[in-house]
Amino acid sequence: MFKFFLGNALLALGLMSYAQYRGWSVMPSTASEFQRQKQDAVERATRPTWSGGGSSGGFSGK
Amino acid sequence: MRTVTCPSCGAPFRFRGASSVVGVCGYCKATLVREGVDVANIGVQAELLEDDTPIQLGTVGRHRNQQFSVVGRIQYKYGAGVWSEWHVLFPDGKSAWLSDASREFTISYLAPPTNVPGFAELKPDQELLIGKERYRVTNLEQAEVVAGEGELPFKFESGWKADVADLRGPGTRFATIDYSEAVPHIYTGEKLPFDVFGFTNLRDLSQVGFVKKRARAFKCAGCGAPIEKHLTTTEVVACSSCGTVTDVTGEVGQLVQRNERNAVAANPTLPVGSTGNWNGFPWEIVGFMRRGITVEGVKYQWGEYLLHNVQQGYAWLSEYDGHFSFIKATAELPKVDKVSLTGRKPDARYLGKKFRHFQRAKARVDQVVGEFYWRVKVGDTAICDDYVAPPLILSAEKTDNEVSWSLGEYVDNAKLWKAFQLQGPPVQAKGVAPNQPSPHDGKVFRYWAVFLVAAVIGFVLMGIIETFQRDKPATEVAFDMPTRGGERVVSPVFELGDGAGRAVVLDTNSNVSGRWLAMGLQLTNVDNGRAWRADREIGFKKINDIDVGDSRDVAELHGVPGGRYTLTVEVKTSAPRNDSFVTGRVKVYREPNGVSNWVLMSGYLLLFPLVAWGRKRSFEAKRWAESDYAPGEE
Repeated sequence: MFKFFLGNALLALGLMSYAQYRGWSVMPSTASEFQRQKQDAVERATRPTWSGGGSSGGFSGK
Repeated sequence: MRTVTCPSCGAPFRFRGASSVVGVCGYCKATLVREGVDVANIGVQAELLEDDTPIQLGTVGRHRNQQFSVVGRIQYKYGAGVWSEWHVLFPDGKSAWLSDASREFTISYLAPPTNVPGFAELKPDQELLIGKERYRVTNLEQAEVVAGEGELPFKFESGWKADVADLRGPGTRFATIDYSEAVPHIYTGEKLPFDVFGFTNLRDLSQVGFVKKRARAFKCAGCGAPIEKHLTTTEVVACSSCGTVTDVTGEVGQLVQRNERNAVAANPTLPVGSTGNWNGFPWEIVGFMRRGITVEGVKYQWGEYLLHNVQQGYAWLSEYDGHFSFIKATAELPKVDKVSLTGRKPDARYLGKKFRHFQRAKARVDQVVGEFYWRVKVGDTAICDDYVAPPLILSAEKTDNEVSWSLGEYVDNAKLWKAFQLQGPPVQAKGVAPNQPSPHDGKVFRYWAVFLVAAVIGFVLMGIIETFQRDKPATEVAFDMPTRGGERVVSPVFELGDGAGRAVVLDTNSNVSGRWLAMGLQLTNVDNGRAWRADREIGFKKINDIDVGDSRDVAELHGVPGGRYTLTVEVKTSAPRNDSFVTGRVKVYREPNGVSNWVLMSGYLLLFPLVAWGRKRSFEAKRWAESDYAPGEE
């Protein structure tokens, strides 16, 4: 298993370096992250809000 | 030195030691006692029992760089067999006793009298102060004189009995207290390996000990089946048919213990009588006993093979669930810690190693087969404490009159089978033995080391790649133009790196507020005219009376190769329309990558040391599952 691990370590280092060189990333890009935040702000603004008037919870026992 | 004439046979007898009082004529066995200038014959000495000691009269050895000669001996009999006390003389006239008990050699000198407890007050493992050294009682026996030879410093008689206590001190220190006189005689010295004495003029070792070619035949005192004694040191033979234990020290076998249980049930994996080379010495399996303990109603049994080698004496091979260990008596008394800070029983130290307490149990002899050098019986019990430091196991066995320590080393079954030339494949071991070396020992560290090295190398590589590729802004373009549209700003020509396919980020920061703008951003390669365009909206819109949006915008362009470029910024429309101005800056750079790939790689590689560590933990959990410290045990 140790040799398998050594092989995997070398392979992982190679893959990581290549992905880094090519700009591959599992994280969203700066632009898409910016767009997501912008979209979230829009959704927050358009989400209906409670007008109140409901029970505050609990059971009165009556 | 004085030569006298034997009054019985006329042969010359030479007293070499001034302190020698008794001599045994080598020809007629007459016991000669010095009385002034005369010698008196006080009777014929009994025959010595045949034994396997390599020492003989005339043997020369050394202790602490002083040469000594063996001039006499007294042979004793006790519960665990026969041993010889050899009287040795040094050139300066000093004398000492060299003891050979089953190849355990001690040399001791008469010490000044010291107050010691009476024999009846002593208990095994009791601590005594002799001189300035602390000793522990290891053996309490009543020894019986068998016979003597050569010259000796005191009178003795065959059959004379004496209470004797053996003690072990620090390191090799050894002491014996002889209670045969009103004032106990104390002898202190050392227990040392055979080789240390540098003996010469020994008996022919190839002819000592084994009596195979003339094995003595006896009848089992139980079932009458023929039994044989192969070793001179054998005290009892356990019948392979009925298990009855017969004393074979005399001419006729005497019953020691009648057993009706078929001793074949003992079923040793290695046949009694097998021979093999182990650790450079030829060993013979001469006996086997199965012992057991009962823990919470569950019986656990293991086998113990008695091995014999004429130079090495006796050794043991233990077998438990297919796991074997080669065991010998310890050369020194291990040290047991006085207190334990872990809630466990104290650990033991020996040969510079720390042994962790594993188990305490009362072991019972369940079955016996073959020859033994002590009077073993089915039902014999001992309190056993095991301490482990794989592949070693240290065991202390305590009976009413003895504490004995032994050191075992885990044995590879394949090597054992080869050494003893056993038929068939080696037995498959089940579970994990207390002293089985972990196959994961030292490996987990290697996994962590490789992981750390790979993580560091990955981090450095990531830094290097980012340093050469990423995101120094290629350019920043400032704009200040009316929001009504129709104007544009074109940047000076700038260099855009290759980026190996990374997206180009257009990051716009403006002073837009309370409105939105439609903007056009265009990268144009000045060498070939090829252009990449992004149409964006920047600013705020009213939703539910809330201004939603951002004065910043981030866009990305894909597939832009490196080269010389210009950036064109223009405002196309605006809402609400007015004649105000918008100012801002556009930064152009290649998309940075961050550390996600490194984190991903490190996370993947971390699995390996974690798995290796988990396997090691699992192995150790199995090892300790049968100890006094298994999970859930108090």
